Amino acid sequence: MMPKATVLEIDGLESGYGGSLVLRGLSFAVAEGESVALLGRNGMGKTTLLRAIMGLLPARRGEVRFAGQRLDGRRPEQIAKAGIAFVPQGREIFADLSVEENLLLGAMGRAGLGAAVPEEIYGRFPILKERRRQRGGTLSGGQQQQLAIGRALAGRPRLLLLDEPSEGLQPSIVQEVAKALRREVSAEGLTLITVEQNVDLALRVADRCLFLENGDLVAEAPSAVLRQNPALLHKHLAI
Amino acid sequence: MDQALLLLLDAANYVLVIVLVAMGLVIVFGLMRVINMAHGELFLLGAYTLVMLQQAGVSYWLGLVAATVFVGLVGLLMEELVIRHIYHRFLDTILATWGLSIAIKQAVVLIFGPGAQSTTAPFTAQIDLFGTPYPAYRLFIMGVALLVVGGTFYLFFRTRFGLAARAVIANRNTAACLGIPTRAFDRATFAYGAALAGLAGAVMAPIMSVDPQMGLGFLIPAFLAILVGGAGHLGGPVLGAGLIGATDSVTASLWSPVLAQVVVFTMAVVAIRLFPGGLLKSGGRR
Repeated sequence: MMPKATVLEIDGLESGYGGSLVLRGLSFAVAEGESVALLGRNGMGKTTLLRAIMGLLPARRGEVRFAGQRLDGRRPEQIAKAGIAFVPQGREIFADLSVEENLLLGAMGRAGLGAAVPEEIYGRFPILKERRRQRGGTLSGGQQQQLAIGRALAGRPRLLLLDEPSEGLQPSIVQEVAKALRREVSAEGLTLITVEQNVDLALRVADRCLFLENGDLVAEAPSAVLRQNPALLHKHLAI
Repeated sequence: MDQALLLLLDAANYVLVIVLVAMGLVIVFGLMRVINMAHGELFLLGAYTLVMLQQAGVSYWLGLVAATVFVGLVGLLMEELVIRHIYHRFLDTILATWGLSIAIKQAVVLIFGPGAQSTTAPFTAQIDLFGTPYPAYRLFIMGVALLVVGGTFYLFFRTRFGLAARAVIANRNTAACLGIPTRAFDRATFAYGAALAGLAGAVMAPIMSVDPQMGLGFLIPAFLAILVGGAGHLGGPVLGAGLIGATDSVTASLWSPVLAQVVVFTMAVVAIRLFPGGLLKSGGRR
């Protein structure tokens, strides 16, 4: 396979909440069309990293470069417009708005008020088409996760950041979500960064896994290697 | 029969005037969680803008549009200079907007003096309604109020702009992460609320004494309407204004204005006690 161009580059990133530093000078790069999983125990800075990339937390030091642009210091809406979408932990769908309105907001955010929901979103998640007049809050957990991913994809991002997509979902639904995500990467060329506790899902979705500990990267390995060598996985996750 | 019809018309007129004044307040309070104590002064600015322009020979209609736009711009300035720094600091918004209200009121006194100004309605005809003559201008005010309510509902619940504005209000970070320019929507929503206050002031100016205290008389029933009806939904204050306005004007004309105040406040206290979130309590708003 031809090595692809780097699309996201994080260089010496420091960030945190209030007085405490969570990310301690972290650096890594992600290639266009690559799927990366961020693994690590709780409180190691995985969510903080996604929030810092998205501009929800200020970078105290270091750089975030995406498709040749500096993104650190920019506001979340500018970062979204540059082509990064974020599905936060807990999904954060608009419970009072209909499924269709949720998707529409995803499309509008990137392409302006005149945008329409791309038809392929309904093709990918048929349940959303069926329920499109229903309020988002009435959907089941799995459907809400599909809605949150669908809403992010409606803006046709180049890079998708996913925080704990498996949280609170039944195993069968987790499989389905994993399959849908894998398809986006292989067939649509989406670049994906997934934060996951569910190692199984991470290994299915990601080409490469990065291990975070105390706000820095401590190791990385291709998913194929980790699948054949679970001992390595256990060592890095210290379980 | 004539008496009853007149009473009904007066009640409807009062209700709609409160709704007209409250609508801007509701948008800013209900949607942005800012209690705008300067709303009465925005109303005042709308009235003075109209008076000033009419004295300069500008037509009433142009004055009406200019007052709405001008007060909308004042709102934009208020949001940019003061309000944006204190969102989510509830008490501070009250204090800061109260300060603004005093500053605006005193500026008006300095420029125009404390005395009353007056202006004339563009038409003074009486319209015959089922045998009862009624001032056409009052009917016009009622029409404007209905348009404002209908237009506001349409804007916030039927347009893309309204959808994005509601998304920003429901969850700011999520909206921002989708690429929606949250600051632009803050500005637009606040300016829209202010512009409605300006419109209300300009529309009411010909039938009121235009003086620096004129905002106050409507601000109290407008706040009461919001408390009684609930601010979580735009329909709440409309309902609240209906209850308060109807009770007030019916009691005042059948018995006395003093008793009307007593009845209205008693009703408000009971309603707030029984329905602390307002009669139309919203579900799921954060």
